[in-house]
Amino acid sequence: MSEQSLANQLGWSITTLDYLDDLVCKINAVSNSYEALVGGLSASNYVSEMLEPLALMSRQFCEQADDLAAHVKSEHVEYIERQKQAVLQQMRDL
Amino acid sequence: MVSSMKNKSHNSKITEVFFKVYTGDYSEEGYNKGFADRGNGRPQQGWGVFKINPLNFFWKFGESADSFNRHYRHGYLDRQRVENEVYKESTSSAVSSLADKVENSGVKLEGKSMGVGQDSYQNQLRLIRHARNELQTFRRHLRQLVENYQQQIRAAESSGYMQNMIEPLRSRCSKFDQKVYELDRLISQHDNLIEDHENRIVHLMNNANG
Repeated sequence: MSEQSLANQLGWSITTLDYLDDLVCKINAVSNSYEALVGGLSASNYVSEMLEPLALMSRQFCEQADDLAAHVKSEHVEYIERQKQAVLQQMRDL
Repeated sequence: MVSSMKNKSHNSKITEVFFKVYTGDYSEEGYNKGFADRGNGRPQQGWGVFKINPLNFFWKFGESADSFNRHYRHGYLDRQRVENEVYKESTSSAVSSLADKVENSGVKLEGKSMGVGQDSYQNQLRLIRHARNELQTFRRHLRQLVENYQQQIRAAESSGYMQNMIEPLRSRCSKFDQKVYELDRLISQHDNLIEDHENRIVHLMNNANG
């Protein structure tokens, strides 16, 4: 495989990993923000029967968002990272 | 023209009644009745079931009575909250006494807004609207990032490199798409619920101000 092709593949891996990292960061930020909303409303004497479903929704969201973040890390980031390392090794061997 | 508009309005009313009977959802009627009863100084009552459509005595009676009574209590309670100014924007006692002291000492305060309590409608609305915006922004980012990721995979495929990794990545991606879809659907459901909360706070706020 040519050096240029390997360089392209390495570039592809880095860009893709950046997209996925960005996704995980945004998921975490929104989960935190959701929790902060419930905390903020609870501190501001929010209508109690409306606070409970919001707290439940926040937990639901965090669980599902965490699940997506874990899936991205274990199934995609790790896999592409392995490919990146393989490409780097091939470049070193040239 | 006028008669066609009347027909349309008549038809939509029939559809509305039919839908109500079919679903047995009397939450709006229950809430309004509870709110009005408390406003008129009537004691809380459990006769709401007699206000539902007679057809619902035979169809979905449990759901109809339950939705009416549950929301009747919410409406009744909300009216009490309005009467007792539970969430009315106000200065807290500690801040008020501090404000009095400052005023007595001759130092002028820059308006009462600095003393607005944390328990104001405005504060709650701000928090809720901020959360809705964040969720919507995240939703847009999520779609964009998924699109970017798919484009990356297509780009790798068309460039003909990493052939051995594209197929496994594709199969991983179908699971990823499913999870993103579920999260997107959850956000949409939550947004609807948060919008209901927002409307309810606005309703309380208008009544408190009125």
